[in-house]
Amino acid sequence: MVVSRRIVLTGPGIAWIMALLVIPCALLLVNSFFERGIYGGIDYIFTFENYARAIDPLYGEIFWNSARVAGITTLISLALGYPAAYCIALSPKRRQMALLILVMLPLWSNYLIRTYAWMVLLNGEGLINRSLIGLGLIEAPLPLLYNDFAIITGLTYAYVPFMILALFSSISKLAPELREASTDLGASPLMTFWRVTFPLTLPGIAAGCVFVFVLSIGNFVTPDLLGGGKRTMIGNLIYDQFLTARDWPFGSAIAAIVIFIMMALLTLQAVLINRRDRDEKTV
Amino acid sequence: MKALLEVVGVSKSFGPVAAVDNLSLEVGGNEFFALLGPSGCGKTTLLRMIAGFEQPDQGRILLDGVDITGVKANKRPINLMFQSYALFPHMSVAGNVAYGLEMEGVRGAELTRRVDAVLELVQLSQLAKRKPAQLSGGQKQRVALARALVKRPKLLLLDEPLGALDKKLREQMQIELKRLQQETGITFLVVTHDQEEALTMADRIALLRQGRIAQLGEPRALYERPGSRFVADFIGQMNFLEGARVGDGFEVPGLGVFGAANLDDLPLGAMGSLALRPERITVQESRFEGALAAEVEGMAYLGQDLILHLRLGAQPKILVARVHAANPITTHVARGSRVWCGWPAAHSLILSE
Repeated sequence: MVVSRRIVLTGPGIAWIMALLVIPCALLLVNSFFERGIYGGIDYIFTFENYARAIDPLYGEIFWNSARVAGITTLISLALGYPAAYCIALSPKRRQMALLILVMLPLWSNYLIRTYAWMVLLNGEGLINRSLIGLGLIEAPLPLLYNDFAIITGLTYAYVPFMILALFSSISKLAPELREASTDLGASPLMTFWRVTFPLTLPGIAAGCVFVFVLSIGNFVTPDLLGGGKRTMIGNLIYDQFLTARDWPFGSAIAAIVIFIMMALLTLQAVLINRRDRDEKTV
Repeated sequence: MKALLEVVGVSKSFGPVAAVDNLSLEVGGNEFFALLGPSGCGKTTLLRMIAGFEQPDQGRILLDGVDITGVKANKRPINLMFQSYALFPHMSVAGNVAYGLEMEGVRGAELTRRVDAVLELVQLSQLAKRKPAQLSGGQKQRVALARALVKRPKLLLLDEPLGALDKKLREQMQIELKRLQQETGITFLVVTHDQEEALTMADRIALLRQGRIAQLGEPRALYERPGSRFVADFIGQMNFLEGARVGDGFEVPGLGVFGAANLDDLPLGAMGSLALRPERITVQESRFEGALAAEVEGMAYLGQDLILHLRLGAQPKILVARVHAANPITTHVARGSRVWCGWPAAHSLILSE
């Protein structure tokens, strides 16, 4: 009876994930070991060639560049998100919900529209450059758009809410008495943060960083629009292989590598959280 | 007695509610002092103000004669043992204990020596490497205590220190806390809602009610000479018989005229209650001088004692008497038994408020 209820309750969710996530990913993995057909199809001949190509220095640089952009985005999101999440977690309960809704508000509008809005802001003739020129602070427009700065700005803007949510849930779980105990034992506010708050919110930091990093490294819309398509990131590479070069096996191989990296990161984070939970179970 | 802690006219309100209302008290050096009261009486707010986590709206707090009202919590030579213990879950027992010393800049061999010494004092040396999650409630309580004691504070505040422990362990720790206080010579200020805990451990007790001190004194004084019905009712168990002062004593309508230890304090005609401890009531099967006839309404067997609920004549009130197991009456008294009860006038009090 318990078993049948379990199946009824979890069945639809599992079926959904199997049909739309696990099976496509498995197909992708399978495809990555075949050869590309002459006219863009797949020839079912087993090969490691796609993976050999993927570690070519040319693509290695794209991997590295994507990781760098995603890494910087993650660090900036953490630096911006932690104080915000901390303030929300310490504000009175009745205000927390309102503040969290404000954090999530941008997610209610379309991602493309928001990205276009950044193009309007960062443009040579855009609001920021025109205001700075109008104020007499600069003479010529600053190169704000179509570079890494624009990509990182756009990605940080898009994903900082996820960082804040992950950090908020971790910080708000922390008993206020722990900070008070630290103060009581003679620690300054900075020392309390460094020795108590920060280590105890590491699971939230890990979760937030993995969210932002994974979402950033796979993004292809922002590099395309704000980066002007000049600096190709891994998302763009995959996109191009499937839709422009019509090389599905190679695209699949790169996608499989990215999935593998993401899974490794998520596993690392899960291990971290598990260890932390075991420590705090009975506190 | 030189005062170590002086609380002078301190008030604190949360919104329209006065949690602590113009309260003053002094705690001497090397004293075991208890703030006792029902929940919401302001005792925890007062404790948090002494620790530095709340600022009083009015009044001053002095430690060793120095005004510390404006001093930040991390700069006060006062430590607090939290009700929840608030142990750092990511640090070992030794790490928790060392934390406060590290904040003072104690390092190396000195740090190890002092941590070891205090772990020895609370008998936790074997568990130094454990994490808090691997400890029992009683062990956690000892870690919390060690963590506060290791700083050698002038004043140690304990917020419901035994609240989370089971009865047996609580009784054991009452004696243990008293021992630690005497061995270290540190002044302990305990907040508790448990009157038995306060009576057992404290040198002096301040009983709080609605942000004010209802009565302050030694345990014996509070128990034997309560100044008000509230104090008499809160500390231990008390029977009350309503009546009024007449020429030759205190008249309880329908029962008679009685004497009392403080009869002379009450003006003629004044209303009040005759207060009587259950263990001061003598119960016998045969009539004795000054005894009142009573019927046993109910009984509760406690092992060393027997609780009898006695109906006196037509009185609506039930008198609770506590009879020691050695009293021969305990073996053959039953519900509905006719007995005689009485008490010496010197062991009853008249309380007018």
